[in-house]
Amino acid sequence: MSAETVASAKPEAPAPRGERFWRMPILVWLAAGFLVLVAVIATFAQVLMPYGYEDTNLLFRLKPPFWSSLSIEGHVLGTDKLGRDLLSRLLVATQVSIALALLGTLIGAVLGTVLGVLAAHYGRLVDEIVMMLVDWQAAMPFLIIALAVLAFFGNNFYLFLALMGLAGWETYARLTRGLVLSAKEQGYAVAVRALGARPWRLYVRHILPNVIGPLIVQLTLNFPQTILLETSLSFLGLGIQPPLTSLGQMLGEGRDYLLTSWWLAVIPGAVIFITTLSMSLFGDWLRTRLDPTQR
Amino acid sequence: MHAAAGFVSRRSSADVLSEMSTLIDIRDLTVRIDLPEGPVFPVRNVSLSLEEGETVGLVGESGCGKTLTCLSVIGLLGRRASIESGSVVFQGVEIDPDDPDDKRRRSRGMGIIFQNPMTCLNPVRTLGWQVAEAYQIRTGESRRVAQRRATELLDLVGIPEPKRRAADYPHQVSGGQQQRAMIAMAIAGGPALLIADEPTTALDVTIQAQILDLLARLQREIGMGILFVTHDLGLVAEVADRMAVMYAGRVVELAPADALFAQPRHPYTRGLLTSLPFLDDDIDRLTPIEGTVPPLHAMPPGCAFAPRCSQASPICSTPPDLRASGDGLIACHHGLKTDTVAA
Repeated sequence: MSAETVASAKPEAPAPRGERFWRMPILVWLAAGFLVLVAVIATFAQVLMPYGYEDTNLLFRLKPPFWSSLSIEGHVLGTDKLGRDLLSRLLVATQVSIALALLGTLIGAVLGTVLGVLAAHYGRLVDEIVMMLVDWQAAMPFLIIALAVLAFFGNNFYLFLALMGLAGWETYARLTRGLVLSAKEQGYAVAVRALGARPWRLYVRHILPNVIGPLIVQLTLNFPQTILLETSLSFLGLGIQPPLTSLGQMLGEGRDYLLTSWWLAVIPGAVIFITTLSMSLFGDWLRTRLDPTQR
Repeated sequence: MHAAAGFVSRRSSADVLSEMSTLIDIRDLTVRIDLPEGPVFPVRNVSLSLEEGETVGLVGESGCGKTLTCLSVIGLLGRRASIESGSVVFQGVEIDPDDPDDKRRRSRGMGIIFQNPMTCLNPVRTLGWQVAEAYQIRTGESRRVAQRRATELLDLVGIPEPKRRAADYPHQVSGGQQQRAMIAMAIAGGPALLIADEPTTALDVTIQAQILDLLARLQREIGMGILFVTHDLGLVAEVADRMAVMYAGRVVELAPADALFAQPRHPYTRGLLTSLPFLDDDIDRLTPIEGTVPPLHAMPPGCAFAPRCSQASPICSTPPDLRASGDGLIACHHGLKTDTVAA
């Protein structure tokens, strides 16, 4: 009885949380679907690939993909200059690039966010130092730093990963600092401080959930940039070294055959493009989901 | 340790209401704010005490230092403001503003309600979560206990269907409900003192009355002391046992509420009351107080109200002390003369 009156008074009773969560635009569905596919590929590349990605076959060099009459059975996406199966290489390259970009972006995001919060919390000298580092990093073209570091210390996977992480931390730091500075003067932050909450509780449980939206958008913008940085460095021969491969390295190798065997560059390029686009679309949608005032 | 002590004293306060003890004692408090032009003192030599279970109304116009007084009591002065001199004694122990343990003792023993509930609730957390969080911070209980208590608290502050409302976000409920949730947060864990800093200013009049009723009921049920800050004299008249009137950083009159409304003794208090419309009086025009409050960096050396006071005389260039007058205290050289004029 009372339940009925309530229901009639509120015709637009909110649907259960789970049900509403899955209501997303078709484009976002496509993007999410593609990202899931990429994630599956990145996880199971070794299981999915039909050939070893390093296996050469000089008899079948530069064969075109399945749609061409010249294609070889078994090599769905054709072969490269050494007769290696393009599909297998693509799967492994996706795995390497996604792992690098994901780890790199996360390292940068965590580092930048922590430094930004510290700067906003302590102010004064800590703030000065962090912001000085931010300015320094922003003023230096990162590619130059990366080239110098790789030239001095030689290439290895972990150094390369650390470099990926350092790329772009300053945008998170600056963003977080500004967001936290304004959020901690908000009434709710003052109210929580009045309750006697310790700083970590204030930041982790109250302020970060409020400022996470812009940070996630930054993450989705930064992720493609990290992929592109990896691509540029590998393209220049300073990133992932053969025989290991990455999307950027495949792109770089394919460049030499653009006029004769265009798929060698276009297929990894398309993977980069669609992955980054999907990430941006999904991230934008996620931002509106995470912000209750936009529901 | 402190928390336990606080709880014991709070529980027993209901039993021993008859023999009231002093809950908070503000002694000669001066607050300093450092501005680029030099330091200013927006709160000067304020002394005020509050018994357990008592409601004290702190009134004055905007910028007179009432909010800063509250903030220094609860320890929320910003970086630029500091306590220059004086002390605050809470539950018999003097507050040390720099000691984090002491700060915790204070935040457990005091709750504060702010003016604007919309900005004082976290927009991305549900009401239930926030009340539970407040309870958890104060008592250190587990999340589960806190969540159950949160629903009870929402019920206690008169939110209908507390279970369902607990899952709502602040923007989904009305301003009155937001303020009720804010009150639930402030009283979670049972603080001995509730500071209400203009709790009804942002609400419409019908809701104002409901919130006042709620505060009065909570005080009866829980037995906490309330420091009720407002610029609305009509509002405090309903709830306050005693009144403190502030002007330009000083307490100028301190008296039992009845006495203050029946016979205001300080010229400023009288000015406030004559500029207020009363339904039962038949007045054609209200009498405003002439002039404006002197700016903080250009306070007159003597009585700050003297430039606007009709009774000002040369003696007003020396600062008046608070002294007994009738049932209360006033800071005015002309207190007695006022009486004869009024009579």
